[in-house]
Parts: sequence; C-alpha cells; structure tokens
Amino acid sequence: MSERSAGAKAGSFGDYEQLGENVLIERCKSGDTAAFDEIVRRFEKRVFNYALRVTGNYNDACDVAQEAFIRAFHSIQTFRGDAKFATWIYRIVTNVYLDERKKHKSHPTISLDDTIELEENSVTRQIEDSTPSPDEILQTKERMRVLQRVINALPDYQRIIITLYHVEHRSYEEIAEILDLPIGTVKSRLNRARLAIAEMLESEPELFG
Amino acid sequence: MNCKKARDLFSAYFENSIDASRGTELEHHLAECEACNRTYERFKYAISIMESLPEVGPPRSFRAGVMARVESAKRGVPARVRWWRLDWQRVFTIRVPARVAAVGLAVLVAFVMSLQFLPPLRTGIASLFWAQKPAETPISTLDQDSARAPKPWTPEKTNGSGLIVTLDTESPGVYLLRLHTKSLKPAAFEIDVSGTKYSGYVLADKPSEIRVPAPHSGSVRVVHVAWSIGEWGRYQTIFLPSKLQSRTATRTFEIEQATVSDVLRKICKDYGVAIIAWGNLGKQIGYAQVYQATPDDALYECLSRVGLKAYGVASSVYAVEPVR
Repeated sequence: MSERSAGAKAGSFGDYEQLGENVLIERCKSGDTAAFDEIVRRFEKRVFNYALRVTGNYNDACDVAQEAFIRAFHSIQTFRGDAKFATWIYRIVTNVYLDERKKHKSHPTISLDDTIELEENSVTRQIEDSTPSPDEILQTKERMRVLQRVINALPDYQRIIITLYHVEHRSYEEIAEILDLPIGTVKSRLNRARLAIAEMLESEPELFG
Repeated sequence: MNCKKARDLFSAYFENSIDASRGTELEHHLAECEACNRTYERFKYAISIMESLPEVGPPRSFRAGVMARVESAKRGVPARVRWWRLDWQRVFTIRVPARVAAVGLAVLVAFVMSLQFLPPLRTGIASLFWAQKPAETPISTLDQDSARAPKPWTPEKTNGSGLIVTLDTESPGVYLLRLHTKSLKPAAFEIDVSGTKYSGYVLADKPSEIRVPAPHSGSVRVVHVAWSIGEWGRYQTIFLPSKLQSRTATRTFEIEQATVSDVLRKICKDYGVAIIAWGNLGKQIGYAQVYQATPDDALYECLSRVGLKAYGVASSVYAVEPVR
C-alpha cells in the first residue's frame, strides 16, 4: 500500500505532526488538504512574520501571507523538492508582495518624519492613559516601532533583503535563490540597506543613542 | 581609499570575509576619516538592533482562514453563469447541480441585496420596543401619526431633513444631546437613556435638548433614539464614553464573533470616542484584528466587512451608517 493511502486511513492530525516535510508535500500533491494544513501550521509563523516585516502593516501581512499559502497550494505540483520548502514559500511571499505593490502603485511611501511624529503622539497618549508600562518597556517598544518604520522607508528590494537576512536569518545562498539574484548582488544590496538604516537611525539619537 | 569604497566594504569587514590587505586599508581609512568611522559604528549598531526585532505571529484564525480558502478552491467555485448560453431545460433538472447551485446563488444574492435596500429598523419596530412602558419623563406627547407603520426610509426623499442629533459636552461629566429638524413636519422621538425614557417631538423652530450624564470611568453609556417624521423614521444608537479623548490614540485588539454593537461599544470605551450609529448593529463581525490603529482605522477595519462606514463628524465623535 502506498504512503498516501496509509496516511489517509490513519487520518488523525497527530499523525501528520510526525511526518517529514517531503512526505507532507507528496501528500499535498495528491490532494490531501490535511497535509497542507500541517504545512501551514509549521510555516505560518515564519511566513507571517516575514510578510509583516516586508509590508510593515499587520492587515497587509495577513493578506499577503494568506495569498502566499493559497498560491503555494495551487502550485504545489511545480515544487520539485530540490530546494527547501521554506526557500520556495519565501519566494512565493516575495512575489505576492511585489505583485500587490504593482497593483497598488499609488501606495504611499511613508515618510520617516511623519512616522516619528506619529509615534511620539502615540507614546504621549500611552502616558496620558496611564497604561502600566515601565519606561524601559515603553522605550524598547518605541525603538522597535521606529526601527520598523525605518525599514518600511527602504526601497522594496533593500527591505526584502534586510528582512530575509536579519529577521528570517536566511543565508546569502538562500536569499540568492529566493530572489533569483547572484550572491554578489545580494551582498552589495544588503550592504547598501544596512548603510541606509544606519544613516536613518542617525536622526534618532534620543532613541538610538 | 575613498569614503564610498570604504563604505562598500563595511559588510565584508563586519562579517570578517574581507581579504587581509583590503581590511588593513579600510582600517587605515576608518582611523583617518571621522565621518566613516561614525557611520561604521552606527552600521554595527543597526545590525545589532535588527536582530532584536521580535517575531510576531499571525492572528489565531489565520490558519483556519487559509484552509477555508483551500477547501473552497478544492470544491471548485461554480462557473460563471452566462444567462444567454444556458440550456434552460437542463438548468431545472437535478443532473446539472453546479448550474442549479449557481442559479440558486444568484437568486439568493438578489434577495440579500434587496434586503440591503430596506431600512434596517423602523420607528414602528422601535415603538413596539418601547410600547411596554409609558415615558417616565415626557417632554411632550407623541404625535398620533407616529403610531402608524412607517414606510421604508428613502434618503432621496428626506433630503437630510430628518431628526438631527448633535452631541456636545456642556460641562465635564455631562453630555448634551441636541435634537432638531429641518423638516416642516414635527419629528416625533423616543429616547432611552439607560432605562429612563423620554419622548416628544421637535419642530424646525423648536429643538429639544436632553442632558445625559457621562458613564463611570471605563464604561459606556448607550442611548437609543427612535424617531419618525410622518411615515418614515430611523432608529439610532449613541455610544458615549466616560471621557472624550483625542482621535490620535492607537490600540491593538482582536474581536471574534462579536456584533457591530459590541464592537462600537468597545471602540467607544477603549478610545474615548462617541459614536452615533444607525443601521443593523446586530450584524455579526466574524473576526477582525486591529493592530496599533487609530479609531478611524479600527472602525474601518471592523465595519467595512459588514457594509457599514464610519466618519468623523467632530473631534472624538463619529457617525456610523450603512454604505449606500
């Protein structure tokens, strides 16, 4: 009896948790949605977090991450298995994001000055509301928010590379594969993105002393 | 080595993947060039803090949402019905279930759409709601005509001359509801403020005011207003916070299986904004996630999916109504 029918008979979700990635993908290819559910369970955090850092916005991240999984489901037959599934799904998320950006060309670029002003307001509001947050937590949170805004202000390709390298901890080789770029280009773009962030943070001495 | 060349080498130097001679050259440059040296320090710092960005997970229902779409894609969406190409004889046989389903769906959509154009609640219904008890503090008696079942409200006919409810803060802790109309006919109203009922009517030159005490800190006072002018009317709900706050505050929350009314109550309380709403507030909002959002964004996020829209009418006051 084949692997597929054995799994289908076993049927419970507990079984799927034990299965290896390749087996799950084979089952997905044969139309087993429970196997795909397990794939989503394993990758949803990574995919969502990547989408969040790239889009810079929770709602857009939900849409992009969901669309990426749906695209993955529809094109699972084309996944050959010579790359890691993670690399493949990162590539899909990136493409979904870039497609969305193309669709919404009018998407306003967030100006760094605006966001910082906005952030200050929100901090003031939190203090007024006497939310019980210690100063350090507030400052760390604030720092993270400003950092995200700074990342948002980068051009798409820099933001994607920064996120893949520093947030998702992908190697140069993987990033090159995800973005279909030579490794040298990935390295030089990452360097440029890091420099851009360093320069933008320079205007925030009170937060990034 | 010039500054541009030096900065191009920062990553390789930081990662220790630079060849020794270039590394030495860069070190010499950094020792001489204060600007590059400062930028390199900042560069290292940027890398260290990027590593500390927290991982943010998806909303709880994310996976279920993906799988619902997967399942529906697997079942297949009915093919688009081309009415002029339909084989009508076959449409009404059970042998073509996809088409039957498609026709059924179209009829259902048409029915649902027709419901959308009917007024969500009429004064007649509201009158029934309050008919149990007479008004405790009558301002004046109700117009007898208002007892008749009202016709559907049509925005074209009313021309904005219905009952206008405006909200003001008279003094700290007291809201002032001002009721007035531009209509030539009397606007009969009934108001329920936490169980205390008022009824009466206003004329174009005879407005009415009701003072409503603000609720205790952390709670919301809900005021129901039903009114009719001749044969048409409306039912409005006003959510009042303990204290009005500026509209720039941001909040993060998620809601699951809540009614519009529950959500408006929450937004009113959490942001300190007043909301004057009409429409079907009993509708269920399946799931909504609001992340570091202003009240405008939170209202949009929650209401857009149930055919309602919100707009600011004053600082800290929003109007909510059906999208027409």
